[in-house]
Amino acid sequence: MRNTLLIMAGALACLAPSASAQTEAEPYAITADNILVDGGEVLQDGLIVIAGGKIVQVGLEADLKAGLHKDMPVLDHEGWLSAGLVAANGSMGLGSGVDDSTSAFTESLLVAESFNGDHSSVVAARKAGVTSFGLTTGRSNVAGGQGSFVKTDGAKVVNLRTHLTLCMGPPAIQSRRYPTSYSGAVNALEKRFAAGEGAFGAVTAGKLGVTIAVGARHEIDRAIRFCQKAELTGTLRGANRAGEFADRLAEAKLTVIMDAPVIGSPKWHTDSINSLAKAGVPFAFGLADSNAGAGSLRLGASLAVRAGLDRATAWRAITSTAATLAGGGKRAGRIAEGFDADIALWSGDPLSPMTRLESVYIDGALITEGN
Amino acid sequence: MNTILSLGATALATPMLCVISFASERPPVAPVIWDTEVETVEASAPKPEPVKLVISADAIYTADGDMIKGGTIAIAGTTIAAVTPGGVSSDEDGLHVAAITPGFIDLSPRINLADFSVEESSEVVPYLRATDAVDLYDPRWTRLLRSGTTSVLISPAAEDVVGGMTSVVKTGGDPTLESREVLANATLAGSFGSHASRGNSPVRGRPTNHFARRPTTRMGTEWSHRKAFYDTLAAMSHEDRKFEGWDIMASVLKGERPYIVQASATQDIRTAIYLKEEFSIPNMTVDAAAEAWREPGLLARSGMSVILPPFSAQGRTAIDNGFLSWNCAKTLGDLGVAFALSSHGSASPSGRLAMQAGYAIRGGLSFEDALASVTITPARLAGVDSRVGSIAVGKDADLVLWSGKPFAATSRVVGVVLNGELVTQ
Repeated sequence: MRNTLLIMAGALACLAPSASAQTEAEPYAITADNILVDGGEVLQDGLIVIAGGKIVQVGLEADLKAGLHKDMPVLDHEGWLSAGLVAANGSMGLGSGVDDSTSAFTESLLVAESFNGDHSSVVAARKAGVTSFGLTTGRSNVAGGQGSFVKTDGAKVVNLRTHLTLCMGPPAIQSRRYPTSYSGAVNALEKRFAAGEGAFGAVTAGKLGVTIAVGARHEIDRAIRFCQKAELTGTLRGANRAGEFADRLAEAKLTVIMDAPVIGSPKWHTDSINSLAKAGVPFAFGLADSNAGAGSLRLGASLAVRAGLDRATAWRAITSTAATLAGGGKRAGRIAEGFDADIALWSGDPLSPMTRLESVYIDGALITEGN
Repeated sequence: MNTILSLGATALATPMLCVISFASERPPVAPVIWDTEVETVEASAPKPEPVKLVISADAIYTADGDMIKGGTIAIAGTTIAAVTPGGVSSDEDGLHVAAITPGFIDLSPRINLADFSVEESSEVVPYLRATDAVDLYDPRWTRLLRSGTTSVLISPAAEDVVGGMTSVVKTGGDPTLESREVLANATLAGSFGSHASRGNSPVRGRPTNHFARRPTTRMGTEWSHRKAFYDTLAAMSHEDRKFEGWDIMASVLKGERPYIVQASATQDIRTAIYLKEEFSIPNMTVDAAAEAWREPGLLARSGMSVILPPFSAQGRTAIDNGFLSWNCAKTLGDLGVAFALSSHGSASPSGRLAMQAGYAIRGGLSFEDALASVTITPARLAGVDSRVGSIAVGKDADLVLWSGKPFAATSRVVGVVLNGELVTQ
């Protein structure tokens, strides 16, 4: 907050979390030295207007400020403003309820029903600037359930059913129950998609997305073959080596969620990221298959840029592309009119590791003062 | 003569492989090459691909007829375009080796994802495909290829009675099934012996792991086999008796798909033979059949084919401790039993397929039969002999290049050609 000046005294109340309802209801504006709109586009001396929890105007301060209502509170932020970060997937707020172990096929379970929005992992995520994420099951079931797109303030569910979560390898296949093999898992899923009932039918009808958890190269290979045979367009998750399959993924129109690189990540990881970008395969960084915390997203995007990825693609991998892959791309991940006012205020360029997160707003309400 | 010259003119431009000089100096004898007939076909027919690699050798062992003493093999695209007898001088420019054999075919490489390759929730799963559990990035593929094995049968681990369909794939090339698969779902895999029942226990109450299932004994394994085939016969005549994979089982009964079962100990081999005779299974092979030498007469009577595991110094093999005699291959060969040698997944250098042929020769087998048992015979047993297994025009250019007489202890593999590409040197 050090660099944020309050012009209107009346707006003081807006900064107190207890008064967040007011900011949601009353229109207000934020100016910033730089507004990161989407990808690489930066508005210098920009201004956004927020009303009803949505972004209603985006532009240059010089163009818009004169037209604002004289009583509208305006926050002047000396620094950068961007969309809140989006994790393409994550299991924050699920505690130990990530997978239901009664069966390998729990496709009708809704993961949002296990979601605790006040869980410490959710709080940690928003303190790292993550304002929404794709809530997903783990990978311990062949068909684990249906994921959701959620916000990190309380248990706000934006989209209850975004994707069916699948896994065709260990730990979903295990010796304790059916299926015990890759062949058995593939066969089981083929039969279910052919029958087209319930969640499987929703996927083939295009009403529900699908993610397939992978790891080793042969699992990526198998998932691509499966999707092509079953005519599915979905997302491979945990696919850190996906870049080695970039051309096949592009041909199959599949997308990728991978771990953000961390300091010390092997070169093949960043090579993989660059290969996906070169082939035009949409990819984003997730947290569900990674041991790293929510803070890994922003650092990972920085490390990807350092390894040669263009800034715009890196930024989208933790905002707009992540939101799209997680099933919330029409509401989150961009500073644009009509999008939810999920906003992060930074001391500088968010892709610089030296930059501090100063404030986080979700649906226009100040949620946290960052880390 | 013209054909040889055209062959030289279109050969790869690399100096090492340039054949123009020796091709023009060496009078060809009965060139087996695309000839004038090809040029007279209609213009719409696809033109043959240009020759891209020519290899000469002091001896070419085709595995499909006589040895060609001194000759060249021309490769166009991925296939063999010509096999030309003729004098070969080793001081010519060009790729020249002492001997060439077809690439080896291993029907029991056991290159799979171990426990995750076999569906143990049920003991009879004919409908599953081994290709769904394949890891084309396994470093063992490179080891197989470098040692001369160019095609293998991938199968699940032998923990099921009927374990699913196997496929023939190449050991190299792009790591995609599309590029490597020679024949999808070529055979059905089954198992006798201890593996299918190992660790199983009766189901008491709710099963808590995959071992709570049938069978628990060798006789239980036999019972499961017979039940599966009786169920198949019923399914073939009654619509309401059909079950998942009945058509795969039926294809075995009709002889459309070979049935390869693991049976190492004498009693397991006998059991397999009795199953073959009871259900008149036309095309059946016992795999890992170490003790086949104990029942050669029964094997010959039933028309059963055999895949032998690797020879070991002590004779004992890893599968059910079966004892493999050094003269087993010769014994089978003398009785006319079709047999193939295999590595059975052995990781040791002495377990390589090429070594097995040498051991079999040491056990009395003729060189020709030893060569066939690692090339054309396994190709026939898996139903892929129209594409691989011998050196002939039109077949896949999968070749092993030798420094001396193949399989001799003093010879080594100096190169391997796969799909027309020199992949190792």
